[in-house]
Amino acid sequence: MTETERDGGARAGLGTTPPSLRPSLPPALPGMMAPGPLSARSLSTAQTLASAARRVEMTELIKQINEIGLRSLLFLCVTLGFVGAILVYQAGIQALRIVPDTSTVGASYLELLVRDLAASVTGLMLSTRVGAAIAAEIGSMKVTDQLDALRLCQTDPIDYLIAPKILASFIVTPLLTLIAGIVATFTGALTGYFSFGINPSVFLDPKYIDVGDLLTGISKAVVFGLVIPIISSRAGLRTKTGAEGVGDATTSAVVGSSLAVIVLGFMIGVAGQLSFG
Amino acid sequence: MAPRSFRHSIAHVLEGIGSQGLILAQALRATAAGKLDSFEFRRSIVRLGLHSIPVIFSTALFVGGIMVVQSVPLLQRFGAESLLGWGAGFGILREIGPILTGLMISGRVGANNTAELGTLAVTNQIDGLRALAIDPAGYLMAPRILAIVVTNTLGTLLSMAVALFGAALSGLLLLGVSPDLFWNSLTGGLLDIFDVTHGLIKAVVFGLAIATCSTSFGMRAEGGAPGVGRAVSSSVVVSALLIFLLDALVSFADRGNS
Amino acid sequence: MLQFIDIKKSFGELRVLDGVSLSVAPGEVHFVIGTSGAGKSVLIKQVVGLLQPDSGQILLDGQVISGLEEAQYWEIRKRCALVFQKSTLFDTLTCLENVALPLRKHPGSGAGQRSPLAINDQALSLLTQVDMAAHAAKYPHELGDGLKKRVAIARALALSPSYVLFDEPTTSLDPIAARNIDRLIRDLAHRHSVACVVVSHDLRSIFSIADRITLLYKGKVKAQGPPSEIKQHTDPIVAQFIAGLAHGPLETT
Repeated sequence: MTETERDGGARAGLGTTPPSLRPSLPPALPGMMAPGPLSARSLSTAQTLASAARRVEMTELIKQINEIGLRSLLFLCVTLGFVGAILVYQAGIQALRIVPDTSTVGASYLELLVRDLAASVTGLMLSTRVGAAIAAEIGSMKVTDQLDALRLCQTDPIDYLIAPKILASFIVTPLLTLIAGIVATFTGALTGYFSFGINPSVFLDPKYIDVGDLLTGISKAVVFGLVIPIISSRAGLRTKTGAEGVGDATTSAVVGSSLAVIVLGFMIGVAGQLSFG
Repeated sequence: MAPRSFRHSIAHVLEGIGSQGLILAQALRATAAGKLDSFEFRRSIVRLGLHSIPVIFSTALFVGGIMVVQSVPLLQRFGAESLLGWGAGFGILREIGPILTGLMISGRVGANNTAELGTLAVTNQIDGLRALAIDPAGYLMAPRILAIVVTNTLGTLLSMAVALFGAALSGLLLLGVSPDLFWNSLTGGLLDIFDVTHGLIKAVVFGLAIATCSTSFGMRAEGGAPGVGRAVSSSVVVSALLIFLLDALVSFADRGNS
Repeated sequence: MLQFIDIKKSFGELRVLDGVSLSVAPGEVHFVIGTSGAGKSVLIKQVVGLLQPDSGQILLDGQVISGLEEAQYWEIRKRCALVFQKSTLFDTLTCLENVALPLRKHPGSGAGQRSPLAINDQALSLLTQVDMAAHAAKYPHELGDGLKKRVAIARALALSPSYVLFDEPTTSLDPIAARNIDRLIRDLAHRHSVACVVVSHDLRSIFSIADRITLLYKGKVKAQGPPSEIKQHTDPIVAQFIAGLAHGPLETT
């Protein structure tokens, strides 16, 4: 076998060359995992969740909760803090111009926050921060043959690397959304007070929030928490060779996750609108 | 959150922002010396710029629609359908357009840029360039920075137009607001050219932030594959933070025109 | 003439180079040998300014080239080329484009080669010199280490340097590829008068093509001279290295 063929086979990526042409891995011996296309095989959502819950190691899960959750917290709070302030500022200006009455700005803002904004902005921010990180990590591991090395140590990369991330994100995203929402409420109220003189007790009025809003917001957060790591992990597993390969993988992870957040958010929002009015 | 990782995060962010000024200065100096590699610039514009158009287009379309959907209860409460055009225009031109495009570009283009440069850095290819007496500032940094600023600016203009279109479409389909009504309230005198320039200023500023940020984190990546991953997530985080920070600054500075 | 005068370099607590002196004459093949981590790579990277010595001087044809600003190294790097241990080709360019890149960026060196066609021709002839013309359109990841190393050498020769520094050129190559690289280096020096400084611990390379050898041990020069002298060296550490024995007074880090 020529040098080119040997290297071409090893670097063409996991799922694209039949096992028989991949001399870089020894043949499947008893007790070892047989090579196979990773990305197609085990990533249907329900399967993944169920097997994730069964096979995930607690220490790895905790590590991922820290990585995905705690590490994102500061970033999210700052971002949503800003978003809240900017939004209330612009809304206040508009309200003053059309209906010179700012009394309902707070209540409308809170409804929007619960129903959509907290989950969507958190989702968008997480799809860039977490999505990029996951794809880059898995992608560079693939390009440097570390995924192969894992399998040779009888460790399934999906169990070891990906399942903990999915589970952690599923748990952590709604919590992050909640905390970020609280921060946004706070900064929104501050902006309302300092820019328009709206009394915080008038601002913090939950009168427009109903069950439908709560359900819509929560389901968005839960769905985003699942979708982001799944899309990013797939992108990581499909990384092609070289410097451009890792770059392309992170890009498609971020773009895919962001689009999913926007489209799914839209669909859930419309569904919520139709169900609850 | 443990105090140590809190301080660590802040220090990390500040260090990132600090080195960006340096990168920008080096890139400007190389450009002034005529060392901006035109081949790399053309390659970057195509790879980073042209390929972003579909994403910007589809996102902007959706978001325009979402804006209208979200404001349905608000408008019904105030019976202000006739002001839909103005409301959408105001939000999109001044805020949503620039911020949304900035975040999309930061995620798509910025992350990609950092990952590419980061992989070059950890595989010593940047040292390889220096050993061939090729200045990385002119060959790598300046073309990408320029390409990203151009991409973000033009992309923002595109997304503003498309989002307005999306809003008009949703307004028609969901609220029965006729396109004429939408157009009239958009151009009827409550919005002017200053709102567009407000958005444009933000587009350029955000583009610069994303460009220097992603380039800086990429060039300084170290530690193999995980190092590239760390560089990418840091870059994306700092870019987003900068976008919001600069948005507040520009909004505040330019508020005389609102 | 390339001269190293009393070079010292530490990384934190670790004293990697402790007063190393050697000189390389034009057209000479000079091997710098020693165990891994003995500071050999550090030494040659200092020539092109990728690292700086803590103290001591490096002179190139009488001019001091250590301790300069980055911008001052551009000229030096045209006269002194470096072939990296891992070849370090640019992933996103084909072999031909890799070799053509320095030609494109430095149109002055080599009489008036400005048109893209002429540049490609020159790059192709450089690839032919290292027997890689057939792979010109391939990307680095499609090639094995031995072939990549040859392309890296072709690229290093693009600007017609008078000195080429090789960082462990035959490490990780199969024996036949290694002998080919040896041959290339020897031809470069003896036919084209390009001085070659080779960092290596490949005993076969060392004793087949070296004109002179410097052996580094624990940051200091342990032995220096032509291969015949080194082979008969009485120091037990030198003797152990030469014989390639695993046991003996020689400590490896």
